Amino acid sequence: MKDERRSFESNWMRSIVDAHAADLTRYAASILYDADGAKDVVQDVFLRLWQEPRANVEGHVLPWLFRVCRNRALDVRRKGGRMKRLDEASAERAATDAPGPETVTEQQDSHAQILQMMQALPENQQEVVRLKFQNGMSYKEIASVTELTVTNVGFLLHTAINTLRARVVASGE
Amino acid sequence: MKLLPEDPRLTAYALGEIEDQQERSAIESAVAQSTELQQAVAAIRDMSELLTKGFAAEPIPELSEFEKARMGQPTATRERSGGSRILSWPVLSSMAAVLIIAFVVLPQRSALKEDFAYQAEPRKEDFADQKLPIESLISKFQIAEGNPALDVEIAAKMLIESSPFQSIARPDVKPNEFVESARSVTALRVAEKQMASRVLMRKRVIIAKEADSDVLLESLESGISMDYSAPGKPAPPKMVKAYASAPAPPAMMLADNGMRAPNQARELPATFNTEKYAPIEESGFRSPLVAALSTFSIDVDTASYANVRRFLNQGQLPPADALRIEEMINYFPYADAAPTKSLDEGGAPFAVHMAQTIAPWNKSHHLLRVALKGYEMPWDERPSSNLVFLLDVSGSMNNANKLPLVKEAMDLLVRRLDGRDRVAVVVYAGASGLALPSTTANNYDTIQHAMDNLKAGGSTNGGEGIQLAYKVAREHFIDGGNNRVILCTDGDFNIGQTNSGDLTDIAEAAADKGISLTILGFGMGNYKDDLLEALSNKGKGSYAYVDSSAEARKVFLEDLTGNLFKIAKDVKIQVEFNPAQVNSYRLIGYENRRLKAEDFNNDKKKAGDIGPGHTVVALYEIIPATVDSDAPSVDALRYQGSVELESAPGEVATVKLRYKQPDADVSQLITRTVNSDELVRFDATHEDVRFSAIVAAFGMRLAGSEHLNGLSYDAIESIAASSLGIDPGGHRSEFVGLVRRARELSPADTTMPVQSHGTSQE
Repeated sequence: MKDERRSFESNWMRSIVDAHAADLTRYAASILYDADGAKDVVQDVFLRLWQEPRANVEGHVLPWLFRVCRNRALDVRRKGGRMKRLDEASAERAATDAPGPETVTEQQDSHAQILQMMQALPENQQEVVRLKFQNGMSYKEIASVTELTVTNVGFLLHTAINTLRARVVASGE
Repeated sequence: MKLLPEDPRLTAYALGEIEDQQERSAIESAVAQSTELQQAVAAIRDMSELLTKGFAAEPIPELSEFEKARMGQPTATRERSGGSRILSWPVLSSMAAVLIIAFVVLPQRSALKEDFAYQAEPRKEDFADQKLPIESLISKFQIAEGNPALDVEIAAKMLIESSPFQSIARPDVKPNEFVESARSVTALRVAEKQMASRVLMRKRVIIAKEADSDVLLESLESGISMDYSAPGKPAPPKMVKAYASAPAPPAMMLADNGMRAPNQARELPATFNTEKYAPIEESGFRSPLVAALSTFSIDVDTASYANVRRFLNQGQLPPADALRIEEMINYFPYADAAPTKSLDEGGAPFAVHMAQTIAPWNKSHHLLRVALKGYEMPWDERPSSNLVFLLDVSGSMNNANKLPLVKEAMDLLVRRLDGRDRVAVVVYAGASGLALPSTTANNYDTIQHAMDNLKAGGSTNGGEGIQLAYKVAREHFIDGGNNRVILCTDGDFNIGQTNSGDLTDIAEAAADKGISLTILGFGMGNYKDDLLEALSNKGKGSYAYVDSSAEARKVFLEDLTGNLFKIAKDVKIQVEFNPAQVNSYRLIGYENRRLKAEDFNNDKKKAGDIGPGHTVVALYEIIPATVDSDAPSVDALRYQGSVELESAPGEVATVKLRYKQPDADVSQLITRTVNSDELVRFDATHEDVRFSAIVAAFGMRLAGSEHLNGLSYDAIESIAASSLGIDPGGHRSEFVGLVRRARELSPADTTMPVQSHGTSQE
């Protein structure tokens, strides 16, 4: 009986990991600027999920995972663990995801530009924008992840979009 | 319904987020009637699409099967605890059992692989078979996170599945290929050891992307994965390729032979997530009628400023809890005059300076600056020193900015010492050892030779190292001298059998016996601010963070004597405010240095030390009695005598200081009063007063303090720029640059509701 339940839980767990681990890692990395640390954080998140009674998370696993992930990532960041200096971090990034000078020029399209502009937003705005448009969350879900009110989320998104619009217009001129 | 394009509801509507049907149709009709709104909705939707596509173009991290499998692992706790939930994270208690098993297994594994490596014709099958017992063990004891056995298992899987071992299995394997494979096994063993010893900090298999031997060496020795962050690149198979193609680095052998941890099972988890930055609660205004006394211990640390600088330089605003404003203020040298009479002639160890000015962020508030300036001891007046350097020579220190910098700095110091002084060097890595027995400092060649032979390699076991260092310091204790352990580490401080509590106990006990601890933090790695700060506080020493060679020069040259000697200990400050002059006051910073009022006169209560030439600055923000404030107050006290507000100049406060001579048990008292007519206009006051005030303002700004009254970064920058003075060392100019950096990183629109990050509720 117990084994059966165990394996059922394992399968459930595995399906959750398959479905969300990559998204969570990307999200944690956006907080930590450290893909490696992000994976640690996500592993911790799933450990927490094991400890959480199913009934508490059933039906809203996604916001639960993101909330725990966010808190954990902020915790790690606050402690300054695994922090890299700008030059180290950027050198690494240059060595890894930068695809080489020619491709870079080609990729200087509106997508890359909008991400760059987004990075100039205040952090709390960036965060809701990311949750909304990268993770497709509703205002309510974002509110639950960030522990803000729905109104506050709406305000942040609204301000962020207006700012970005203004900057896109300005850059086009 | 009247709706403006600036209304957040319009965005919600455009994004389909209005749930209330009535509201939605109201907005709908409003939009239908206005082309302006229609354009706004279209623009929002365009932006939404652009963002969605932009984010979709961002690479998604690709997780390997191994990583996913590990992420899906439950903890052992769940098995045991059943219904009751243990919310501690990570679940340390359960891990202890699992880890011991893991470490029992490890030596056998090493032996296994050794056989494998030197077997004449190793076959893949052998290896696979021998792996079985471990696998069964793993499945038996539900592996908790960070378990090395799991990492080892994963590594083993990769090993088997990767090319060099397939080539071994082939009969046409060439001899040199085999040697390379054997080397890769050695490499794996080193890696495995790294994992075992760093069990909780490093939970992943070491990856070296480049088959460059230096890079490989670096990653192996440090245990820091070099290139794990490449999104969309499944990394694991590269690891063994890199090992196999790299020439065997000589230092790897050294790490393997010389630096073996004697007993790795003792390295139990103690630090993972057990400490945090203590949350800093900014203190609010208090009325002297409620609390007439403000009491705190001095703090000469400077680490917080260097840490803040690191955050800003890497493009992030520092989290509020990392901001210890007093450490930011005290980072800078000030020109306050030091006592001129030497200690031997009975001079006071420090001079006290008071200044009052107007708060730059609020014209109706005053600032009271209390500055202590330690006696600038001439070098030849210094007490004899018994210095034990405790050097972290673990692999992660093998970096131009770490161990070589430490050596260079030590060399600078040793050259200034002489036959009265003793120097010893204890190193710690996989094993700790005495690299230089205590030697008088005139034996320069001996010391130089020992320093030259220091090399970084192996993992970290700081716990043993620190005990050995204290032992050496005790054995060569100089009565009335400067007995000190100087810990140089990158903070990757595996603390062996001791948990952090034990460690601080050791430091505290040694401090009681007269051996102080100075901590110098280097580099980035796994920097553990909280642990090091706690250690240096208990060890009654200073704690500085060296993030650059410029900072190393500051710590070792400019602040050298201040960091190495103490001229007074248990320095406490108590300020009594006069309610006739002061409506309310607040101490800026020193949040975690508060003392109870009655501790001031209690000589058993420890407090901070001060070194030669140290400046300690404390700032009080004062609301004068003539100004109304909404600070919490009480009804007029019936039995305390009524307080008549004085408009005439009078005493604002009495500042009392207590300190002990370095070897005394009884404290001495200094008392000074502050008069209201000593107030000087902000722009007329000394540049040091202005600068310390503006550093405080910067800290408050970064922390989002409500007391700052909206003072902008621009204003902070211009005040700082006009308060540079002669700026020895250029630290103030650098500060101006940091303010600019912070402004660039900060939200442009300050009207946004401030959302404080990081309240962990989970």
